[in-house]
Amino acid sequence: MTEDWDRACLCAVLGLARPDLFGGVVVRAGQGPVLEAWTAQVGDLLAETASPIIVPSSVPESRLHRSLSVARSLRDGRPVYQSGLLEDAAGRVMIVQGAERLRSGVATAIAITLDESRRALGEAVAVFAIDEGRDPGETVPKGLAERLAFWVDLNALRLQDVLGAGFEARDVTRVRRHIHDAAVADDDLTSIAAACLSLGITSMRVPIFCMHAAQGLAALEQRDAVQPEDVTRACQLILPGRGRPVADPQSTPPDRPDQAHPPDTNNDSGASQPESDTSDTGGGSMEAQIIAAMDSAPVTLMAMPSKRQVRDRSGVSGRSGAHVIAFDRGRPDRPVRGRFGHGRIDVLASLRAAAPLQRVRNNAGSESGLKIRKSDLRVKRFKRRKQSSVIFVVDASGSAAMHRMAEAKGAVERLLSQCYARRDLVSLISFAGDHATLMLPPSRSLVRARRQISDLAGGGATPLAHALVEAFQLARAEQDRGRTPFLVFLTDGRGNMTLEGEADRRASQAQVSRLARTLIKDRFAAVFFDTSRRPDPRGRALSADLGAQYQFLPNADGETVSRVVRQRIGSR
Amino acid sequence: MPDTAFPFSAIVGQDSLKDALLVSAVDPKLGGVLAFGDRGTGKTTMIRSLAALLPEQSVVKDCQFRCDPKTPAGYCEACETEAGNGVLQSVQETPPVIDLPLGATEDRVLGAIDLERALGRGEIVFEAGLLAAAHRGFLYVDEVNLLDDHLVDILLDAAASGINRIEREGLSLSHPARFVLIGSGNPEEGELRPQLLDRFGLFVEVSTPHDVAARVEIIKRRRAFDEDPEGFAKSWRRKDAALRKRIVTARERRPEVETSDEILERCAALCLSLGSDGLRGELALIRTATSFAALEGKAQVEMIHLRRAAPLALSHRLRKDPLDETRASARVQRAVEDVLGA
Repeated sequence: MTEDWDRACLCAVLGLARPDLFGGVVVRAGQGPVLEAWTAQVGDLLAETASPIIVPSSVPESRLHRSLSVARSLRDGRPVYQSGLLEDAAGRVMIVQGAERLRSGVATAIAITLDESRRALGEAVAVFAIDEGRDPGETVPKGLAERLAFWVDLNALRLQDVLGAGFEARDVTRVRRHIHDAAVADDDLTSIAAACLSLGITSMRVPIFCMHAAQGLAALEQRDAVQPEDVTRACQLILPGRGRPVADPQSTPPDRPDQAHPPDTNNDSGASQPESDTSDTGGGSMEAQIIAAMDSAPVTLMAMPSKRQVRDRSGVSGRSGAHVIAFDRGRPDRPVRGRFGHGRIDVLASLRAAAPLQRVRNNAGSESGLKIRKSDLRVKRFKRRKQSSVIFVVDASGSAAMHRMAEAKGAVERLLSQCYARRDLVSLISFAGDHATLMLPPSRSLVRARRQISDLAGGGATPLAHALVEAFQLARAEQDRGRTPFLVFLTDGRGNMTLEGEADRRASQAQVSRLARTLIKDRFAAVFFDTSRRPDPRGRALSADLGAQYQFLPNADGETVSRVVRQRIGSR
Repeated sequence: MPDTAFPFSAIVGQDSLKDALLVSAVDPKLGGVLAFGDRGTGKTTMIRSLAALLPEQSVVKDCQFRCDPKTPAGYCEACETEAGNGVLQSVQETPPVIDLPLGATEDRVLGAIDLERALGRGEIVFEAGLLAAAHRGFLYVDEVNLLDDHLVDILLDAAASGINRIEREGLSLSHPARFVLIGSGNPEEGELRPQLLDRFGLFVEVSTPHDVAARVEIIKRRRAFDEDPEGFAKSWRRKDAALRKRIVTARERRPEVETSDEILERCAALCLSLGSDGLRGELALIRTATSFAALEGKAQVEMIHLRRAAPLALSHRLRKDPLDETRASARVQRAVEDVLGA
C-alpha cells in the first residue's frame, strides 16, 4: 500500500465520518480499476449505512428537487411526483460522476445543499465528486470544489499501489463520534492559519478544514489531544492544489505576512483574546514544517489554474460568455415556452409538456386523441457564437513602418476575404508620431479595407500608450455591440511617446505597462506579434501584461498573421 | 429542524459587508447589496447569520405572500377577500432569506401554474415562485455574475418595482415581491455588466483578513460553533439581541432623521468629484448615510455617516479610468478625504 493510496483512503474516512464538517471529497481519476478499488473501499467503509446515491454529470436540474414524473403520471392518469435527488441524499453519500462536466446550475444546487447540511450531521450529504477531467482546465466547478475538504488524485496510482484495505467502518464511526474530543492547541491553529497564508490560500474554509482534519486524525488514533503530526498530516491532506503557485518551491518558506499587524480584536470584547504572540518558536517551526511537508506532498495535483490560466480560459479562447441565445440558428439549447410564429416549434418538447395532462383532458372532453394546448408549445432555442471583431493595432513608426503596414494590410485583406462566410469584422488602428489613428473602423468590406488602409505610414516616434487606449476603447465599444473583440498587436513593444505627447522613453514605457495591466482586466483575447529584429524580453513582458499570446515574428509577414488569427478565432 | 445559524455578532471582521447588510435591513428600499470577492470569505455564512438576526415581523396567517396585516394597501387578492369577510389572523415570523440557484428556471423564479391542482381538480392556481418566497425578506444569489441575463433582468425588475407581474398562458396576475437582493460573486470569473452594477444599491469588496491573529480567531469561533452550535449561539445571544434591537429602533427612527443642506451639498460635491454617473449614486449615498445615523441613534446625518456610506454607495458607480488601477474603494476614500476633509 503506498502513501498516496493511504492518503486517498484516509480522506474517504474523514469525509464519510463528518460530512457536515468536510463536505466531501473531489476524486480526480479516470474510469478504471484504481477508481473501482477506491469506490470499493468507500463501500466497505459505509458497511450497513445507506447505499450511495449515484448522480450522472448529465443530471438535469429538474431531477434535483421534487418534480412531476412524466412517465408515471402518464401511466396512472394522475400527477405523480418523484422526490429530488438532493432530498434523497440527506444523510447519505452522493457520488457525482463526471463532476468536471456538471452544469453550473447543478453544481450550485449541490453547493447550497452542502451549506444547508453543514449544521445537521444526520442530514448532511457527503459529496464524492469524481473528476474525470484530463486537461488542467477541466475541473469540478470551483464553487463546489471549494466546499469539499479533500482533493484526491488517483491518476498517478497503478493497480499494484492500491492493494490492501486500509480502513474499516468502525474507523468512520470512531471519528464521527469523537472528532470534537480531540483538543487542538492554539499554537497549532496559529500554525495552520499562518501556513495557509504563506501558501497564498485566502479562503477561510481551508484552515477550518485543516483544523477539523487534525482533530479527525487524532480521533482515529484514539488520542484526546491533537499532536503536531496530526496537524502536518491534516495539512498534507487538504492543502495541496489549493494555493496559488509559490514562486520558488525550493526557497525557504516566506516570512509570515503581516507580522507587524496588531491582532484584530476590536470586533468583540467578549471572546477570548487570540494569542498575540504568534512568532513563538513552537508555532513558527510548526508552520515551517507544514510548508516543508507540502514539498513532499504532490502539490502539483489538480493545481488550481493560476490567475493567468483562468484568464486564458475565460478570455483568450473566448469559450465562455462568447455565446448568445437565439431563436434562429446555432447549436440547440434548452427549449422554452413559446407561441406560433415565434421561432420554430420543438415538437418533442411540446409533446413532453402535454403528456402528463392527456388523461385529464380526455376526461374533460368526449373525443379521444392527443390533446395539445397552446400552453404546451415549446419553441427551439439555439446558442450561437458571437460575431468576432478582429482589431489590428499596427506600429507604423520607425524604419520598418512601411513593411509592417504592408504586411498588416495583407493580413487584413486575407482575413476579410475569408471572414465573409463567418460574418466577422476587422478594423485597424495604426500608430506613429504622436498619436494613434483608426484607419479602418470595424468593417466586413474588403473593398473598403483596400481603400482606407493607406500604406504611407509616418515613421518617427512610437505612441504605444495612446494606441493601447484607442484599441481598448474600440474593443469595449465592440463588446457593447454584442461582438467578441480580438486584438492583434504588431509592434516591437517599445513605446517612446507618452499620452501627453512627450517624447520620453522611460515615462512612456511605465505608462504602457501600467495601462496594459489595467486593461487586461477586460479579458479581451489577444495575440501579440513581436516585430523586433531579435527576440526581446520587453516585447514578451508587454505581451504577458496584456494577457496575449506571444509570437515572435520579425518579418511581420501577413500570411502568418492571418493564419494565426484565423486559427484563434476559428477555434472558438 | 430549525438550524442554529452562526451568530452574526460572532463574525470576525468583514465590517463593510456587515455595515451594508445592516443598512439594508434598516432600509430595504436601498436596492440591495453586491458583495464581490474570493471564495471562503464568509459571504455565505454572513447571509445565513443575517436571517437569524433579523427581527420577526407580523404576517397574515397562511398567506402565501406573507402579507403585512398592518398595511391593507399591500394585500394580495386572497387577503383582500379575507379582510372583507372579517379580521385577518396574524402570526410572527422571521423574514425569509431565500437562495436563488444559478440554474433556476423562469417558472421557479416567477412562479407557475400549480400542476397538481390543475390536473386533479381542473383549477388554475398559481404556485408561488422564489420571488414570492422572498417577499419581505432577502433574496440571495451566489455567483450573480454568472447568472443568465434574462434571470438577472427579471430579478432587477421585480426588485425595483416591488411587484412580480406574470403574464403567460392561462395566468395573468401580479403579487407583491419586495425583497432585498443580495448578490455575491468572484470578479475573476466574470464582471457584471455596468448597467446591472449600477442597479445594486450598495457594493462591497470582501476579502479575508490578512493577519494571522484574526484568522486564528475565525477558526476558533468556527470550532466552538461546530462543537456546540446551540451553546455557542447562546453565548452570543445577548450581542445579537442588542443588534436586533438597534435595527428595530433604527427602522422607526429613520424617517425622522434629518439631512441638512450642508450634507446634501457635500453629497453632490462628492459624487461630482468622483464623476459617478447619474443620480442613483447620490440617492443611495444619502439614504445609506441616513440609515447609519438612524443605527447610531442620531437625529441628523453627520459627516461621519457620509464617510462610512460613500464607499458602499459609490464604489461601483465610478467612471472607469483606464490609467487608474487603484481599487475603486480606495478612489472613493481619496475623494472623501478631498471633499470632506481628512
